[in-house]
Amino acid sequence: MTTAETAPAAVNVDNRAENVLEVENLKVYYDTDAGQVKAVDDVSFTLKRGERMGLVGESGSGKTTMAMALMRLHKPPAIIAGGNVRLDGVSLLDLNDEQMRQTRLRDIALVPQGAMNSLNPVYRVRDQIIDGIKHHTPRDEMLNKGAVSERVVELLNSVGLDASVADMYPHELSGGMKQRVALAIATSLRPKMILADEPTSALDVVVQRQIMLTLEQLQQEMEASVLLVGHDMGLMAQFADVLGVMYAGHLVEFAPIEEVFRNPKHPYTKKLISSLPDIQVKGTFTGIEGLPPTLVIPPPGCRFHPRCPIYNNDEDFRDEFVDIRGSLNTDLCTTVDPHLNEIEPRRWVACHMYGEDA
Amino acid sequence: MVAQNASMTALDSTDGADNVLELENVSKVFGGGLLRRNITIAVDDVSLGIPRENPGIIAVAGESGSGKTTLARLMLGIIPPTEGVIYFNGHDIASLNRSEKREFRREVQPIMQDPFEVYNPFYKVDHVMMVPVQNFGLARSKSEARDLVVESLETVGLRHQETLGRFPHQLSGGQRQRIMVARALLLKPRIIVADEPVSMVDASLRATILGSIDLLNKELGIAVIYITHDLTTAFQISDNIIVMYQGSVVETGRVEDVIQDPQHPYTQLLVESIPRPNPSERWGRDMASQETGGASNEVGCRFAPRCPYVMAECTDEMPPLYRVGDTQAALCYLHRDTATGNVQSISDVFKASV
Repeated sequence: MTTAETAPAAVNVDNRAENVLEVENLKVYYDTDAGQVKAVDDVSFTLKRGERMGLVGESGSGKTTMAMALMRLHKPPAIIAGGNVRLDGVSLLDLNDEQMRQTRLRDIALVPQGAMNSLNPVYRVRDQIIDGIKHHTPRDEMLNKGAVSERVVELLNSVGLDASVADMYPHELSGGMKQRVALAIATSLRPKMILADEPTSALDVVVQRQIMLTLEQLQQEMEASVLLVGHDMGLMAQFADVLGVMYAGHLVEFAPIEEVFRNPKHPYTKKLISSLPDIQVKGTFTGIEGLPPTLVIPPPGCRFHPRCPIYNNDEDFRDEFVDIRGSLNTDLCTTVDPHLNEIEPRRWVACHMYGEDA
Repeated sequence: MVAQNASMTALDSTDGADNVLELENVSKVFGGGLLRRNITIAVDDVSLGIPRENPGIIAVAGESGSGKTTLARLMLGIIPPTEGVIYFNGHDIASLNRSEKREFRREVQPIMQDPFEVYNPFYKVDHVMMVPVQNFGLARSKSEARDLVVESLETVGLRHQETLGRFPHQLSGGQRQRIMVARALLLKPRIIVADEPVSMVDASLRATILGSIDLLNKELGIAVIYITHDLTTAFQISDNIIVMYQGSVVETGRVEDVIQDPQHPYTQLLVESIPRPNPSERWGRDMASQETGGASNEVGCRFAPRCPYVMAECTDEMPPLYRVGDTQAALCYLHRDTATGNVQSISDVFKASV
């Protein structure tokens, strides 16, 4: 925090108060033999301090690619082709590699996908936690040995583990306990932002609930923001304050979680929600017809139009969006890629039904 | 063991008439050996019948390590039980003759979890469909074989123009999984054992695949054993459910009863923990029943170390499966005084499918 690199943050006093993360027109492309794959194409959103955001999408929608790019952990052939990412006012894309490395874990930490396999099998839990602290703390701020040991115990307790776990190896822990260790590592330097990529996908629902509640508790104590990447809308409903929905590389909707479930604006989000099975009413739960498009040659215009129930005048969808569907010029759907527009405060949607692009 | 099984078969040859597959006090124990240490009881004393008429869809639910996949493998005859007998059409599957074994292999079909791993990447999709046709001599000519394949693909909603002649990597995960359903269907089985068939596919495709599995049951009268960790899809497609915890069947019965009014503390915890897709109905903050990491009970109820209602007798002896309703049973002493008896075979509390 006191290092010269992070100084620009101090200038942006207003931003510090409100937005922790600002993503602007981010583009992440893969250069492949088949052509350029626009995995993340022109994505913008902001995340407030202490806010929990969910990011959902089908596999291949670009959600993980984007999350990794936010930390600049994207791997070749992925490249950041444009846009801006600001963490507390600091432009992460302008930092050099060493500055970025210092920012990771300290300001923005990752709970990786399958975190249970991210631990090193030959090191004790204690050493893995200390390793993270050491490598991401400037030398002059490093705690002494005794203080580090105390911190390890404190961290383990904060994630609901006994201090004795420090001396264990990963194979001695259950999947849920390993995931807790990953949480302890991610929160060890009290980051401003935690990025969790499907952190519970391999765990059963009981353990999943415990882990998510622990994450929530830690996040609230630290006033950190969380970006939870996943595909389980149920988990998002339980955890997130705001939700972003990705489809074929675009963010197609962004809104407070209650609003998304109560009144989804994008036909894809609508389909996604109506396709959710529940345990109250037994009946038909439907899928979304068709397949996600290839991102090498995405469909012209709106990328969702080949599957869109409104564009395709789906009978089951006759009654949906009744007020505004009449104003939709379907020629636009096949020719113009809709922009993400703010149609109400903090309600963003990319669909021609809501005008703006016409 | 074999001799003993053989003699039991003779006794039971009339018994299996109503059931295609019947499990009688089946247990599977892994590990052990000479010193009998570190044994894992993967399946503990399960009795279950799958009827010939109106078999319905039976979900087997539980977390990883609950024994649900072991139960599936026992039913498929991939592994033999350590104790108990499995009957196919009234005959012990351990002592079937060649033609009976062939019939068993045809009539009880698996659908595996990972639609990416079951294919040989060097063969076109046609191969995986044609092999069973050849092996079981289902067709007399090539064109007849092709017709059969096309028909079964169409039954699960796939167009043969979009699937045949392609390599596995050219198809989506959902298509690959539906081809596996079509392949199972090709053999006109009586029972399909589907082990987590949708855990590897996107939510938008889940409904389609489960829909095609449902169709096999409703239209063709094939019994489906749906193995899953997802109670929501279990609720949606199955008629009856078996909830397992560390090898024990802790609760079973009609799926609406078990999921909407669970009677075993473990099922209650499981249902409570489902991430409901409704932001105004969030999880309780009650963090009871943390996993302890400790070893589970060896004699009594497996869930006792995590159970909020644990009593002295729970750790002494395994409770019986109490009948707690017409179509529901729970393995828990909480129901000792109110139960209307004990359940011998799990399927005694199953609701008949319509």
